Formats: sequence, C-alpha cells, structure tokens
Amino acid sequence: MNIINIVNNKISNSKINNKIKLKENKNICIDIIDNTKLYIEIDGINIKSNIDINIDENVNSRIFVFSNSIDSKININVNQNKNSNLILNSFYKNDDVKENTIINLNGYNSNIEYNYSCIGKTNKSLRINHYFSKTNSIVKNRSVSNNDEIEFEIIEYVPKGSIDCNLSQSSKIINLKENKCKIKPILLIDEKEVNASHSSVISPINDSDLLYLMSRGIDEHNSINLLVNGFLVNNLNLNEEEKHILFEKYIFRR
Amino acid sequence: MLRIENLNVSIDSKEILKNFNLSVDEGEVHVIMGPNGVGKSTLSKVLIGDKNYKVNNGNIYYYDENIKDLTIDERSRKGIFIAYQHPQEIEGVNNIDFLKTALMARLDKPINLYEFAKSIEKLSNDLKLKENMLYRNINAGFSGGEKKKNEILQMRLLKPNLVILDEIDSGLDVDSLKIVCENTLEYLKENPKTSVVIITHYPRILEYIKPDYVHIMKNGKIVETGDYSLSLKIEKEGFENIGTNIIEDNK
Repeated sequence: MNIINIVNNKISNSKINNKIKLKENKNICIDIIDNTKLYIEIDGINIKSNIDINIDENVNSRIFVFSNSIDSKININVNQNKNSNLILNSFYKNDDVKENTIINLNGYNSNIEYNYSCIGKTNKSLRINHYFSKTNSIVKNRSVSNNDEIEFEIIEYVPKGSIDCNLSQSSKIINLKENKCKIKPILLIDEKEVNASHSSVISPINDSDLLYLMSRGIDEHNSINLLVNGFLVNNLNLNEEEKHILFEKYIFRR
Repeated sequence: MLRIENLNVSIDSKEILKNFNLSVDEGEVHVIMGPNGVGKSTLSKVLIGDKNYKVNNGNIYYYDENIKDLTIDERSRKGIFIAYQHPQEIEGVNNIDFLKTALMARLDKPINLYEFAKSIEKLSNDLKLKENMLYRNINAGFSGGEKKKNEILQMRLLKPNLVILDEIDSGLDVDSLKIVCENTLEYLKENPKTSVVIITHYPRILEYIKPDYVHIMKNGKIVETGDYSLSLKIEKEGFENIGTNIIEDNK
C-alpha cells in the first residue's frame, strides 16, 4: 500500500513503491508512472498544503486524499496525460476547509472520476480543464452542513477544438439546520460537440428515510448519523476495507 | 396488551379515523380488512407513532401505558413493530449496519457480533434471502418480494411484542407469500405472547396465518367483527353489504 503523510506541507512519512516518484520542494510533487493506488493523509492544525500530481500516459490510478484537520488550505493540481485514468476520492473532516483543486486533462482520452465528501465549514473550488478531445470527467461532491456554511464552485472548461468530451457533475448538500449553503456549477464550453450535464441539490434530510430508521428503534440522533455517514461514504469509490478504515479512522475519530 | 379508545385522527385537516376502538390481548391475531381509503394504513401509522398523523382525541394503551405521546423510536424500543407496505429504499446505508444499530437500540446494550452474524445468517437462510443483500443499501434495488422478506427478517431479529403487518401480502408471488407467512408463524411459535395486527385486502394470507378476529373497517371505524369465516364472506360477496349495523364495541 502506498501512503504519503503530509503535515504542514511537509512529508512526515511515506511508504511508496517504484510506480510513484516523490519530490519535495516548494510543493509536494507526486509523479505516478505506472498503474497503482495511493493514499495521501493530511493531518494537523493550520495546514497549508500544495500538492502537484502528474499521471503519466496510459496509467490507471486511484488516489485517496483523507484530511482530518483544523483550519486548512489545500491546493491540489493534477495533470493527466494521454489515455490516463484517475479516480480521485477525497474525504475531508475539518473545522474549516479551503480547498482548491485544478485538474488539467492534458492528453487525448484522459479521464477523471472525482468524488469529494466533506463535513464542516467548507469553501471548495474545483476546476477541470478539458484541453484535449475525448476527455471525460465525472464529478460528485457531497457535503453535510450542521452548523457550517458550505460553498461549492465547480468550473469545467472545454476550449474550441476539444471534441467528443463528456462532462457530468452532481453536487448535493444536506443542510441540517438551514445554514447558508451555495453551489455554483459553471460550465464554460466553447465547443459544440460536447455532452455536458450538471445537477445541484441543497436539501434537508429525507423525512421518510429518517422515519424508517426510527421505526426500528434507532433514535433521531443515531438515525441522522447513519444517513449522513452513508451519504458521505457511499459517494466515494471505495472497497469494503477502505470504507472500514474511513469509518474507524476519520468518521468516528473526533 | 393493546387498547385503542375513541381514537380520532386526521391528516391535512381531513378526519381519517373516527372514534376508533380496538382491543388486542397477548398472543392474539387480529385482521383489519376493508376497501381502499377507509383508514387501515392510517391506523398502522398511528400505532407506530408516525408524526405525520395527528391524533385529535382518544388514547392508545400498550401494556396499560398510554403511548399516545411517545415518539416512533420509543414505541419501537418498547416492542411495537410495523412491516411496511412500501419499505423505504435508503441509499448509502448498508443493510447490515442498519440491522446492527437497530438491534443495539432494541436491546439497549452492545451486541455480541459473532452471535449477531450467526443469527442473521440463519434468518437469511430461512427467508431465502441472498447473502449479498445484507451488504447492499437498505432495500435499494430489492424486488417487491425481497423488500417484504427484509421486513420479516427485521421482525424476527428485533423480537417485538406487537407486530403490525401492513399489507405484507401485496405484490408477493405465491412462493414469497408462503415464505413470509412461514417465517411469521415460526416467530409466533417461538414467541407465543406476541400479538399480530394484519392489515389486508385479501384473505389469501389468512390461509397461512389463522386469525382470532377479523374486523371490517369503513369510514374510519370498525363496522363488523367476526372470525375467519367473515374474511371468506368478504372474498365471496365484497365489502358493499358489510356494516349496515355498525358495531361500536369491536370485541
């Protein structure tokens, strides 16, 4: 298992195989040169992290970014080359998150599946640039607002000449207490031969779901917990072991 | 065990149950039949404490405690269980995690995971449920029959004292109905003090689960009470001529 632990923009620990090249200068640079899976853990207080990820040609990769921090600013820049496939799962359980992710699809037929789940005050910005033809993106953002403001801005850009691209984005926020939440889906498309869709939902918890769980004796607090955790975890493309780790290490930790 | 006295219930200002009375003793099986829209399902929702239904008047006693003001989860933990006509599909919540949490709530203590796993395995086998269904989201993508079997699995796991089967027979094929009924009977054999209220349109389910009383509902109240033969009469003649002489005391 490849793991990189980052604290205050410094690598505190890493265990990686020869399919990953790691450099640390102003930013943390991760070069994935062959098919592999990578876990990135970001932890600590007042974090400012800049992470650059490069996916080489013809490489399939799955990356998990887990953050369990307070007052963090995280910038992630991803560059994907020709025929590369990336599944990027992010789970943030922070007190205050400002996250800015830019994904550049820099080669023909490069594909990104981006799944993002977070709890807590969040200001999330994601931009995906479809710089080449036949590039595909699937974006799923999920968040739960208890006492916090949440804002998602998802920009996807297709310049003229990038044909046969597919863009799909869906964002959903469960707003438990009528907090100020905002979703801004922005599609900047200069090419006609593109399939694009988006959906944005801000809603309270589903009453019928809650009623069903409570009808089995589970009190309201625990029923909401089950629904919220399921909503966030189910959004991520994880196997059962990874889900278990996520629950044990991040969801139940604080 | 259960005593409903002069219950008046409305939803969206429309009165559904009108001075409804019913008394159920331990170990009895009662059947409520009636045409569509007479308040059968409303009765089941009120019994479990669905907050969408407003009780205007009357009382519900369960083991001599007035449970009218208890919440749905409190009633469930006291041993009142409903098998829903349309079980909810819940995305994101794993069936097995849900069952574990529900059992802990019912027992009010941590559970032995090995015993839990063994018990779930046995119940799934008894109900001929595929093992992978336990690891899927609650009822998500289940067929109609699988959903009803999942309700019965929950009933057997949570061991309630009062079971309400709300049109459990609707949408079930012959084989699934048999499995659902056999499992209900097995549960009643293991727990002879458990009482059952079956809400149904058809007497087919009563070929398996023999009732002590059959009640016919019309216009929000019980209009006739009898035994199994009443359900057969209904099947033959329909509901139209039933309840010309309204019986206020239902038992």
